[in-house]
Amino acid sequence: MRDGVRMALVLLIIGAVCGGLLAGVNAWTGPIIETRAQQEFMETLRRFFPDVDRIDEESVDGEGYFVCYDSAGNLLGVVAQAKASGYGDGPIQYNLAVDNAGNIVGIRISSHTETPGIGNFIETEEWQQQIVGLSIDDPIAVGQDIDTHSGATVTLRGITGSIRRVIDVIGAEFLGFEGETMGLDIAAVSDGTYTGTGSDVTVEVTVSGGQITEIVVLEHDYTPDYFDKAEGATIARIRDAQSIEVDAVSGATVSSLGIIEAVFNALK
Amino acid sequence: MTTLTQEFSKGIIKQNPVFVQLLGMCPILAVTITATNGFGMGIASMFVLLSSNIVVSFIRNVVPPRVRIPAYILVIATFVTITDLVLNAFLPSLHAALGIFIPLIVVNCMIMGRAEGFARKNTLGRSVIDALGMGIGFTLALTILGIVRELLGAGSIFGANIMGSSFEPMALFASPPGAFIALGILLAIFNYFYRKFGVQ
Amino acid sequence: MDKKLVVSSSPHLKSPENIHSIMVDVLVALFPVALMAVFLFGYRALATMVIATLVAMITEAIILRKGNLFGDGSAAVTGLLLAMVLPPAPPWWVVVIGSAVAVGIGKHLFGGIGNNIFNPALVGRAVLVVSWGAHVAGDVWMRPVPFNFTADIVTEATPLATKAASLLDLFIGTVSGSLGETSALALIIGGIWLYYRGHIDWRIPGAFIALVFVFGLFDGGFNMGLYHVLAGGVLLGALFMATDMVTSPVTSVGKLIFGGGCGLITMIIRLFGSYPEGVMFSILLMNSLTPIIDNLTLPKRFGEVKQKNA
Repeated sequence: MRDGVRMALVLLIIGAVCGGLLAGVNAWTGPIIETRAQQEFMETLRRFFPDVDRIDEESVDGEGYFVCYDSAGNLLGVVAQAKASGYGDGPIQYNLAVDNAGNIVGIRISSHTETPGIGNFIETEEWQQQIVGLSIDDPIAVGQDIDTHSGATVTLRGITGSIRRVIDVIGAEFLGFEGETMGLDIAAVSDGTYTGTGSDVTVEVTVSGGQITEIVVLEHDYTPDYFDKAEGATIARIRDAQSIEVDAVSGATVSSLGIIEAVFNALK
Repeated sequence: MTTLTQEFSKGIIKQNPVFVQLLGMCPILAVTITATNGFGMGIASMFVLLSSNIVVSFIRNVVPPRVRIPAYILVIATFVTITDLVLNAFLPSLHAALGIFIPLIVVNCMIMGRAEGFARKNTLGRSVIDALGMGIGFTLALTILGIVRELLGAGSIFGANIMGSSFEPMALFASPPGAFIALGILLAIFNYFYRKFGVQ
Repeated sequence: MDKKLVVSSSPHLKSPENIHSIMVDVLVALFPVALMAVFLFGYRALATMVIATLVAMITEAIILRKGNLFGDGSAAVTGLLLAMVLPPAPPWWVVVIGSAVAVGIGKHLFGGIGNNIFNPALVGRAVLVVSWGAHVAGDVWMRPVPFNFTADIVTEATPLATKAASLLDLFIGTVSGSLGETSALALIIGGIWLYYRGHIDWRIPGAFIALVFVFGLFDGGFNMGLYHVLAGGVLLGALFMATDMVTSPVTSVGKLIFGGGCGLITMIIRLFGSYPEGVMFSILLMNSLTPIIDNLTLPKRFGEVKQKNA
């Protein structure tokens, strides 16, 4: 047998056997790991809301939200399965529990790829205690109510920003919060074209005769799928209602809120 | 021809993978923050070493020399992945603690070193004994280093608080520079005793 | 036999200088600084300095198995310099461990005097910062209480954090900070003494301070330039630490590069990093580059002609 063929054959056989062995072990351990993750998750939910009896699973902007109800059907709170991008190669996956008054009752990091010894302070009880108790009305910003952590700035900013965003979504989507009361009397705005920036989006608003006639998105930084869903509907709603107090588009809340905020900033 | 006992014991003393051969430094320094982690990593590595030594020795006459490295890597990587999956399923807390260093066992020089340097030239029986000796030596070294670092850096051993609450642990030893310093000092101590008792 | 021919081996020209005399000179240079430290911070400063120096000497005596505590004086200098970079009142065991580490690891584990790569006092401080950061770099900066030997500790933010101290205060030293860094006046007096005795070359401190000043200009004009030179550990580092002959380059150009590099890194950390002070790290980093700098700046040999490729 020629050398090259023999080499290739040997490697092929070894590869096949190894692959088969791995497939077998994976099939064996896979379900166990899966079940355990599920159980841990239910455990986690129970740790946040001990009376939880029923869960509604919703999806907003691609992330999972578990609305928890007790046996009497009362809304206990929402647990979000969110992702934050920190310093590592992968996202920080965590759970955030917010009760029905908008207060954070718990946070749990499920997985992350932050640098051990530097970025994994997020797993410590000490740091997490800082988060618990904050509410949707607090700034939740690094340097204000969140202490800086030297050497792990990117990690800290990533997770803090994510928590801020998640709690806003929970508030808007499930708890009926309307965010900052943005009082705006459109009729009192003089004619003209205005530019305003919300979180990650800039719009240009044209007002004529005390009415918003046109809203154009100049630039944005959101995931295209969700933003496209939000853009058309939100702009239409604002124009129809001639008010910024419109509902966000469900399933694309963050993008909608961003547009609304931008319009508000343009006209205020 | 060395005796079987010598084959076994060399892995622990004379050719200890950590204190003499200085192999596998990366996981050693990173994982030995606690004694439990050090011990766990040692056992995991020993399992991989044992399995890969067995397989490599078994196929040593069949694998053409020019493709032996890719072949061995396939084998080692398979066993590492098996270890990773099994740990995740049955010892999830250890799995989480060791984290990314479990997959890194693949590049632990000790594994490839024994495969290339011993298992492919020796019988199955000897390879097993070699792996056991090296594995135990490795685990021993990791555990000792882990105990030192955990004691000084956190005041506990295997999680049990030894030093009491007024002890302020020396955080240096819980982080990489302390690992280097602790390992260096341990190496010095071991080499001193080696020389004193005329080993190697 | 005629005794007209003296036959002995070299050296035939001897200088009165040896390690011992140099170290004594350094201790003398540090005396004004030490005095100011006690004056500003009271008995605690004295305790810290005494403990650090004693432990350093004892550690070296144990390691070298010498009975003479003072030895060649280098351990005492290391101990005192360590005290100079510590806050006025760390716990006594912190000072003991730091001093032992500085002499034991920073100096002897690397090979003893002449062979260490890093400035031993700074190694000690670095280990302390990593191990017990709260005690040596946290909320420990005591407000100076001149003339009050037994005052209580009141902590305040350091000049580099507040950027609000007066230049006069910075010069005399009535600001918070580590024992040796506050009084620019005392440090300059010590520096002049060292220069007069020929132990420091103007190049390292010159380049260090110059770069700190220039970058300080960018941070807020002439005033800020001076502020950055007078505040924090720049003068202490430039005059006493960076100039350590074992850990700094030998060549003239090398010295300029070394000093400049220290100044550059210090200011980068101060202006763009998350620490308010960067002197310690900059000196340690440049220490590691010293062999390379020496190699790159070798002077041309007398009569050397470069080989031309045929």
